[in-house]
Amino acid sequence: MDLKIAVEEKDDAMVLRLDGEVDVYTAPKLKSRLIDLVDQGKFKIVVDLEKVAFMDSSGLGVLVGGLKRVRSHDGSISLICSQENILKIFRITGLVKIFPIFDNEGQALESV
Amino acid sequence: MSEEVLLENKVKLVIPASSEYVSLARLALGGLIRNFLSDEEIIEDIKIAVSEVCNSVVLQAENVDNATLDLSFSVQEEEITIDVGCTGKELELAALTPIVWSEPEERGYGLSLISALMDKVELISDDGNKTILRLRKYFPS
Repeated sequence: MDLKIAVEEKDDAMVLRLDGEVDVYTAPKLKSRLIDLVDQGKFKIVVDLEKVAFMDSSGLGVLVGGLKRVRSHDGSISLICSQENILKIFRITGLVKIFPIFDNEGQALESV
Repeated sequence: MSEEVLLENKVKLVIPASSEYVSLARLALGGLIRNFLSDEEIIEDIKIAVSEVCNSVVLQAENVDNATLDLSFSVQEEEITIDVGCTGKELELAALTPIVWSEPEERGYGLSLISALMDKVELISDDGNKTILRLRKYFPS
C-alpha cells in the first residue's frame, strides 16, 4: 500500500494528512514533505495519522527528524491519532513524552 | 495435529532485500495468521515486529547485489515462529541495538518494538551456518 500525503494550511499551521502505510519504503516520502515545509519556513506542523493503516519505526524516525528540524526554529509538531495500534508504538518507544498527541484536529492545532 | 498438517502450516517467502518488498512480507504474514487467529491486535503486533526485522535486513543489505530476504512462517496450534534471514549478507544484531538517548533520535526504535511485541527473540544459526533472527509469539489460550 502506498502513502498519500495531503497538505493543508490551517490556522497558521500546516496539516499533513497521511493515508496509507508508513514503512521503510514510504517513510522517505514523508521525510521529504517535512523537509520541504521547513525549507518553506513552516515550523508549526500537525500530522494527522487517523488514516494510517500501518506504521513502524521508519515512520517514528521520520517524525522525530521532523520534530528536531522544526524545534531548531522554535516550531513544533503535534499528532492526531486515536488508533490504538498506532498509539501503541509511540508508548513502547517512549515517544508519547516527546510528541503531543490528540484525538482531534482542533486540539492539535491549538497546541502548535 | 499430524505432521502433514504442520508442514502445510509452514510458509517460506524469498523476496529481494529491498524496501519496496517489505509490505509483501507483511501481507503474506497477515494472510497466513488470519487462518489461525482472529485477534487483530496480536496480528498487528506480529506484523510490526516482522517489519522491523525486515527493515534491518534491507538496510544491512543495501549495497549488496541480489541479496534476498528469506522468511519462514511456521504456525502451530498455540504459537507462530518467524525466521528471518538474508542471502548475500551476514546479519548483525548490532544494527537493531536500541540507542540510549537523552535527545530523541531518528533511529534505534526497532529492537524496542520487537522485544515488546514478541514473546521470544533469538539469534540462531541454520544448518548452513547462516545467521537467522527467530521471533516467536504465543497465541492466547
